[in-house]
Amino acid sequence: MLSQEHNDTLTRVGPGTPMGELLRRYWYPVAIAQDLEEFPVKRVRLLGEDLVVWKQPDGEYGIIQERCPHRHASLAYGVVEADGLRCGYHGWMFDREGSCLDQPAEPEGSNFKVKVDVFTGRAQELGGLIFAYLGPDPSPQLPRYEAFVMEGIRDIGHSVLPCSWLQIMENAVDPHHVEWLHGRYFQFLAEKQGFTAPGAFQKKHVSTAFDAFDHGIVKRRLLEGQSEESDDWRIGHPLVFPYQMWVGGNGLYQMQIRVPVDDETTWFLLYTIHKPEGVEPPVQDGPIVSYEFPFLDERGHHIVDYIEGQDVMAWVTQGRIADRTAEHLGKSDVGILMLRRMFKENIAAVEDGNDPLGTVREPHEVVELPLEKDKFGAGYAFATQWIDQGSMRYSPQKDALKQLHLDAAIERGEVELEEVDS
Amino acid sequence: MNHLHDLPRYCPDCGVTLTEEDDLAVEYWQGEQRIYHVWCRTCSWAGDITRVRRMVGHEPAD
Repeated sequence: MLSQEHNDTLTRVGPGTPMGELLRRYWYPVAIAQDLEEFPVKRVRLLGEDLVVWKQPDGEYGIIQERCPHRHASLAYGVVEADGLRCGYHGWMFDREGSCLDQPAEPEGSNFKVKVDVFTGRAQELGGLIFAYLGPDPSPQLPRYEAFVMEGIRDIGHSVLPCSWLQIMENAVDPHHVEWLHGRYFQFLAEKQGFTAPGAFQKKHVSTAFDAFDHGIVKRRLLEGQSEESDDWRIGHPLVFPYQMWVGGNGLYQMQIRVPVDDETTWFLLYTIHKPEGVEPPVQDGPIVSYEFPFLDERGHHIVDYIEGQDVMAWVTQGRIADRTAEHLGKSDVGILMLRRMFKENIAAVEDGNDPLGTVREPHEVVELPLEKDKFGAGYAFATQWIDQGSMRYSPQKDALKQLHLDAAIERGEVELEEVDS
Repeated sequence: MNHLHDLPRYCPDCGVTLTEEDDLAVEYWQGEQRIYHVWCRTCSWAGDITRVRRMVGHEPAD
């Protein structure tokens, strides 16, 4: 249980709030790069701020407040020029640094443009996503996490969810939900609706552990029948502070990204890389496939017969902002206590003028993160079950992805192959 | 039960007044025992505080 004041501190992300000031020290995806190839201007929303991101002819990206400071028309309907973005209404033009370069209707020789302030952030492309930074200068490096630079076939499923990003992050340090939400509940649905639920998620948790590290919290689980030498316990996988989780296994690698759009809205992305062992690393041919996955049916009920649909149900039904004054945390929730403390510690760090956890200042090629390889001891079946019974079932390249993992499993001579196909 | 009536008010290490704004206190349960997980911004102390109603000694194994 938290007091209302603590809950407000942890969930309010707008400008000037303690959490908002912390979160503004990080880079966030705001658009899929391919979208700007199709049209070079896009309205986005991040941390409670309405913004416009655009791609210039030289390949650089800019991000600017949505409202033109002249008459507040939306710059999402602006014109991309060689040097910046021009408002579609009266032609005021701004560069990526926020300088007003042109006010074509003003008298010749007027210096009015130097009086105009406009907010701009920083924007960069990495791994097919456009990342934005809205915090103070000097901006930190955009961390080149392994997910965004490694070889393999990429697949981006995404959806905008009507709930606070914190609810989703707390789920990332809640290992027990896997056994119940994706285990028992999935099995219950399968029995009622006549399908087969994935067995890998039904294993009982014997122990869980959480360790702070340079980029967040490593989560470990020991499942029934596993030894302490298992990947799930010995290596685990990390919550990447403050808004991501790196997870995978058996040739699948996934950065789960929870972008705080505002206090009550999250852009949830499942950024998956397929790189099974046993075959040459597959080469991405053409644009990265991205698609929106549904989480409500035509009646407005949650779609719960796939893994992430179950997660979304659990996050969204807590309410737009969960009422933590009425919760009852138990011993199995210590990961959540640790995460809340980590947020408070880093809010304080920023208030004291320091860089928060995970800030990268040095140029680098890649930031590697710990990640188990043999997930739940499930082998090839884990990959195919994740594709068939997770959000990737909505991917336009689903069949090709399954074939890739099947070919690799054949090359490896995995015994699970016959069992899965039977 | 008013879950806020015994919210820890002082840091057990440095003694500073704990505030809603700066510090953290999260209630959780272990069996029937209520516990506050506390973090003090001033001295960075973090730990659990719980009210003890009955002192329980060593329980020998069967």
